[in-house]
Amino acid sequence: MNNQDNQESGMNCPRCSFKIKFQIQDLLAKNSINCPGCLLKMDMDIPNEIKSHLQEIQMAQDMVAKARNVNL
Amino acid sequence: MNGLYHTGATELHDIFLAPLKAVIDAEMSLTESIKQFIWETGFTSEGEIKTIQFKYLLDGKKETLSVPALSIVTLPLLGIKNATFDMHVKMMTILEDDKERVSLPPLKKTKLPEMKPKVGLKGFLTPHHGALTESTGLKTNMRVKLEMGETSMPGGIIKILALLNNNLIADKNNENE
Repeated sequence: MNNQDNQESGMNCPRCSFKIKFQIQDLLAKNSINCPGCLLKMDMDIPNEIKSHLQEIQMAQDMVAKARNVNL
Repeated sequence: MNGLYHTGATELHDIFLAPLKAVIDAEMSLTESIKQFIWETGFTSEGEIKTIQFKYLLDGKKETLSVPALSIVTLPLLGIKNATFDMHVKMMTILEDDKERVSLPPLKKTKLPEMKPKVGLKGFLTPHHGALTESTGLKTNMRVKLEMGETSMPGGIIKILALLNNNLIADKNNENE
C-alpha cells in the first residue's frame, strides 16, 4: 500500500465535507482557498514557523521525487 | 582463531547477515529521521499540535477551524522498497579441531576437557567475472540471492497521522459577525 494513500492528507470542507487537497505552493503563496466542492472561501492563517516547515517539506518532496528515479 | 592457521574464510551466516543488517540499520536510521521530522513539524516544544487556522463565513457566522498542520500535507516518506543482494560464494566445509591449537603448556597438571572437532560452514565472496575467478582461484559453488521488501509505514506513525486526521479538527469557535 502506498504511504501517501495511508495518510489521506487534506481537510474536509466544513460546509460540504469535500476532501480538499492542498498543494504546498498554495499554502505558501496564497492567503485563501476555495473549496472545489462548494466554492466556500476560507482565509488561511499560517504561522511563519509552519511556513518554513512547509518549505522544508516541499524540498524533501522534490528530493524524494528525484531519489525515486535513481537506480543504484 | 581456531586451528594452526586461519583460512581467511568467513562464517556463512556472517556473509549473509552483513548486507541484511546494513539495510535494517539504514531503515532504522530513516525511521528515526522521519520521527524527528514529524515531531518538529507537527508539534511544539511543549508537545502541543501545530495548527493552521481557516476562517470562513457559514450561514452569516464567522467561524474558525484549526487543522493540524501535519494532516494538511502529504509527508514525503521514503522507505527501502526493495533490496536485492546477488552474491557469488565459494562455500567450504571446515573441520575445526581445537586439539591442534598451539598453546602454552598448562602450569598445573590438569585434565583438559575432551574437545570434539567442530564442523563449520565458511565461505568466500567470489568474483562475478570468469577471468577474475581464474586469477584468484576462487570458483563459485553457491549463488545466493537475498531479497528484502518494503514494509508499510510504521504502525506508530500511522496511528499519529490517523489521530491528526480524524480527531483533531478541534478548535471550532463561533463568532457573531
